[in-house]
Amino acid sequence: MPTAGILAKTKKTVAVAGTWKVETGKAGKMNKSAFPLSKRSSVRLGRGWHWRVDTLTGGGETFRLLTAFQPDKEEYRAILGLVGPGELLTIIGELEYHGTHPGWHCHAVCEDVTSIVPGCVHHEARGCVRLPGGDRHHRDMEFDVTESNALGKAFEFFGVTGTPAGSMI
Amino acid sequence: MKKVLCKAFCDNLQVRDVPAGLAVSTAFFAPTGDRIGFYVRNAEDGHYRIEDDGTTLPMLEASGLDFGSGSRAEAMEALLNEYGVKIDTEAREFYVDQVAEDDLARVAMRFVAFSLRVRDFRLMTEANIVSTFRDDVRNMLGERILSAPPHSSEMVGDGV
Repeated sequence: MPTAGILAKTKKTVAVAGTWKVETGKAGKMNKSAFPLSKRSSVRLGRGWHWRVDTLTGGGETFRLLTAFQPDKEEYRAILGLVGPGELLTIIGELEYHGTHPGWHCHAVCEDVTSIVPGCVHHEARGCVRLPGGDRHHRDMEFDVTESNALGKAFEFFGVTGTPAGSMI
Repeated sequence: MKKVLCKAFCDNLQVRDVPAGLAVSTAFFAPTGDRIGFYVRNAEDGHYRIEDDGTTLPMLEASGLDFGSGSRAEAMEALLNEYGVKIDTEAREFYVDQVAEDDLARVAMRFVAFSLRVRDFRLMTEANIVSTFRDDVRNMLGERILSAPPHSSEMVGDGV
């Protein structure tokens, strides 16, 4: 299936809701098991990042979504991965905002999901595009991210429509 | 000509205020299509600290690169030393601290050069190396097959 279809057209619901964490000393530390891509690699952000991982289901597949932001630097990243055999994660796309060059944008591979190398971040790989381009006009320039709305931005972009009954997200 | 070159570099330099201090973007693009940028924090002692967004190192590691030991660790150490850059292990970011105001522009330029070069570690990921190795072997075998006389059994004899 093309990644574009998985990104937005495959409607997803929350199977396991995460909770917001922020590293203050040992508490809230993002360790290797928080968002593993394979047995050998994972995404680990450091001090100052607010982050959470939610497990989603949709179209017969399971996804993991990392949502993270750093308010001091006005940085935001939401990374959606498709869970495959052996818990290998195939990164489907990323929604981002950077304080150094404002403007909401995404990175995604415009190929079939089976052509993406699983278990690693690939958005510098061939076939991966940034939309809009780095020197193009961005419609939404405002950061305005807190724990109250950070997850909503990711859900809207990745087509997450439902939440489990009684969830507090 | 000088005016045109200066304009190309300076017009694309953007500086904006963020809670951490100043966020600076440059004319240079990373392979992702994002501009190379950095942050300037005003330290308590009157000096400045230049740092990245805290995702460069995590994303390199997430690409499967291990800087804990071996040749990649040595290469990273050499690059850090060359540019006087350090790793904040708690924040997982690259930084240069104790920068005097008079020295800020020079150090910032070097930090940008470092930021461009450190991304080349992506070329050392296992997937890239395997792909390069496969291409080399394919080319080598292709050359040998093409240069071998008709009905040669050389390839079988080599156990390839």
